[in-house]
Amino acid sequence: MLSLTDVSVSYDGVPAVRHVDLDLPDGQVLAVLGPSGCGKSTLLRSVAGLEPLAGGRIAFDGEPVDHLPTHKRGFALMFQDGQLFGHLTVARNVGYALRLRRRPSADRVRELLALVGLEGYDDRLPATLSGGERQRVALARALAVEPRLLLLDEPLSALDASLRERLALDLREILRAAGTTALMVTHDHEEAFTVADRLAVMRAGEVVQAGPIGEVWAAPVDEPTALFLGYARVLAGVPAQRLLAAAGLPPASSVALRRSALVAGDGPLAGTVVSARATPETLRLVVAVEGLGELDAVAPLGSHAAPGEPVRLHVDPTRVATIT
Amino acid sequence: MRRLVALAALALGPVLLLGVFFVLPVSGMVSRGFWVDGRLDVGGVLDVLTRPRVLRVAWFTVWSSTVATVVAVLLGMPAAHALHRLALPGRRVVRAALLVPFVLPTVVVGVAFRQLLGESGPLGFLGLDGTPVAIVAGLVFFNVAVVIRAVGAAWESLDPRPGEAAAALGAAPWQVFLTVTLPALRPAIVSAASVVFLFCATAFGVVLTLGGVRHATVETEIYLLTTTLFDLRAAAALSLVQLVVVVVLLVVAARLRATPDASTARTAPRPRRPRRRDVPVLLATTLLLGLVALPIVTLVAGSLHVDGAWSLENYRRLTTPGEDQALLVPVTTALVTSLRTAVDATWMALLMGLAVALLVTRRSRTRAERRVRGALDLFFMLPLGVSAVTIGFGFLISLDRPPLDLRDSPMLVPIAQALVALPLVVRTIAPVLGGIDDKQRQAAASLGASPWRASLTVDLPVVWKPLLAASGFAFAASLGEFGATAFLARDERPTVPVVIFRLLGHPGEHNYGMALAASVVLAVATAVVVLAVERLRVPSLGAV
Repeated sequence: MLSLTDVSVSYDGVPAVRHVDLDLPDGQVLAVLGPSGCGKSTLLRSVAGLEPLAGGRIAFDGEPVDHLPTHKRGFALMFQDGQLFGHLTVARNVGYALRLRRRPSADRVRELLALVGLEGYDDRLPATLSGGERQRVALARALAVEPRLLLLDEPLSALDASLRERLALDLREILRAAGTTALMVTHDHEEAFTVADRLAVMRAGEVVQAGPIGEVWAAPVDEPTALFLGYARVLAGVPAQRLLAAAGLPPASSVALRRSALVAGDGPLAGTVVSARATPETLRLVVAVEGLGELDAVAPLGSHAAPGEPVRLHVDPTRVATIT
Repeated sequence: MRRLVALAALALGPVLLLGVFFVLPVSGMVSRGFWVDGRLDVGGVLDVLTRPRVLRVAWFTVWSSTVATVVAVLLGMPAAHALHRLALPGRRVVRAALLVPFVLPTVVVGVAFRQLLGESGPLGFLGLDGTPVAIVAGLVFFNVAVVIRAVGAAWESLDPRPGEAAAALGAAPWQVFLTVTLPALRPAIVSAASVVFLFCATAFGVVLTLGGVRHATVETEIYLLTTTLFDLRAAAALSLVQLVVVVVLLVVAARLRATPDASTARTAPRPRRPRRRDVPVLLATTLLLGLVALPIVTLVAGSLHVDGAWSLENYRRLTTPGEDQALLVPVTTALVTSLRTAVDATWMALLMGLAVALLVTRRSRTRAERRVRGALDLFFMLPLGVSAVTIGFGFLISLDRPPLDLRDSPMLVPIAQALVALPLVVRTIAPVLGGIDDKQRQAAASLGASPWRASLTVDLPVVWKPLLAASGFAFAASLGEFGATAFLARDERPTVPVVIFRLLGHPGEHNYGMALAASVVLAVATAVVVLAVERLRVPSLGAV
């Protein structure tokens, strides 16, 4: 179990991470989510021992580790761009940590390459691999000595969208299969949702919300957090009360809506279509809703919703989140 | 086609100059070895090369250069790390200070080490004067700056993340160094080592002043054979061997440099604060600073010491021709000659270097054009591969009869020195010119600028600093040049290095004291020029 207590890091006196408290139980994956520059990578580097702490404590299984140099912490770090050693083959990259511990094993290397789906790549050089293959090798290398904690720094950000989606699923499978405890930082909420069990949202050096991923998702702590988690709009005050009433939900001070929270057809809300755009799966509308303002809505493909036409809407309660 | 013709026209001047003042002398020297009484005689050359003394000289050159290279790399690495990777207070000053030995005239370095290791010197009790150890020490002193520069530049721009990745995988700092840092630095280290080896193997002034006749390298042996034994044939044979070996070394070094190394296209990470585990590196750097300072301090102290008391007498005597008329002219006159010669050599090297740099860096449109430019590039680098002694010797035997009888011309020495400095100038300017995007010139042209005007708008603002730096380097190189000048300077018009060497050869304590004082003056002059250039912050030494 990794526990961070009141951790602060600063660069030349300028605080980058402020008073962070986090716990990560064994076998779980924690994603630290935040916009770029929020200090999430700095937090990860301080856990790895690459940045000195300005204050606070880092402990693993109750033992403080913050006085240990990086190589004695028993954590493995996987970089955004892999950082494979260009002068070593794939197999020698993967076996690097094994050789450091004087127990090289060709079998273990093969097993790891199989785990990440790269059988037969042993003698290739990193320069000949695609971006996705490189990240797989980096993952195999990090897992080689079964680190007690795996640190992942934006592991999929350098890849293109479709590959990222596939590799995120693979990453989750591999981490599950190996039972690895992992701390991942990312700016992509979908990636976090796919891979992690727990979520911590960071902003301007502070953790603003942390918990099991479903809980954070269902109840963002404030408007910026909701927007960062992929909610399209946040309503407050009277419009929020009206929308919650229409959804049949208990009242709250504000409410965050996904883009598909309002569905055209029939329902308690009335509005006028402002614009309509067809996507492969659904018809996306912008509707001027009476008393709520312009909101996103969806309609089934094939339905008629031309700009200027009146439309009735109902609320999908699973696609809204109340902010308390 | 028209471009090729224009290229040829532009290349004509420099090629002609290099042909007359480089190819002609060197080939004259080579033919002197092979042609005897009008017929080819290869056996004679081979005979020379199997003489026991020649073999001994060749062997000494190889092992002393090898040892000096290894020691220079080992001493230079910690300093390269400390001065380019750690945030030390005053590291720029220390970096500049460690550059000084490299630009000191070779004769001055020789004098400083004799003063340090001689019987009455601070380290005289070691009994190293006149031994190979002294020569190797002098070579290391001279070349450690090259290692610090070249390796330091690569280290400075080295991405720290692979090292961090290794540490995160459990590698201790020494394991990170061996398995990640060293492989990444290898191209820079090998490149620096090959350059240092080249400098050591062709070192002249240091070896001649410290080794004399007893411990000769190929370079000094050529000089001794020519000037004292008048065995021109043997000298020619040795020059030829050296020429071949050095060209091979240069080609190898160029190929090693061509492999992409860590110094290209990387952002420089911030230097980090020193920690406790950096103490050994800092100690090694301090030790190196001490080792570098020791000969210089000894030299300066010695020059200020007369008959056991502090005095400026040695400096006052610089206006005299020395004890027992050791010299034909006072040292002050020689200093004026040196400065004049350096000015002439500088403008010559600069003009030619600029023309060459423009020639080889313009973008080629066709394959033929690219080949021509490549060949020209290699051709103009040749003087780097040929030792100064060979150039001086070649001048002596080739330019002594009509239509080119330059023996009495005051331009002979500056021309030779300009040739020696030419590769330095080209290597300083060409990378900068080559780095300018040709689209900039095209943009200027499309706005209506003539080629001249476009060059003025685009090239000049970028290139003036390197030009100034190159002139500084050429000036300093010319001030300290000894190999070619030793052959060519006329007795009544000597330069300061020649005068120092002559003073050392004459008995008499005053003469020795004057040699020390003259060395200090010369050292100060070169150091001032180079440190002024250093402030321009143009990367050049690392790219030698």
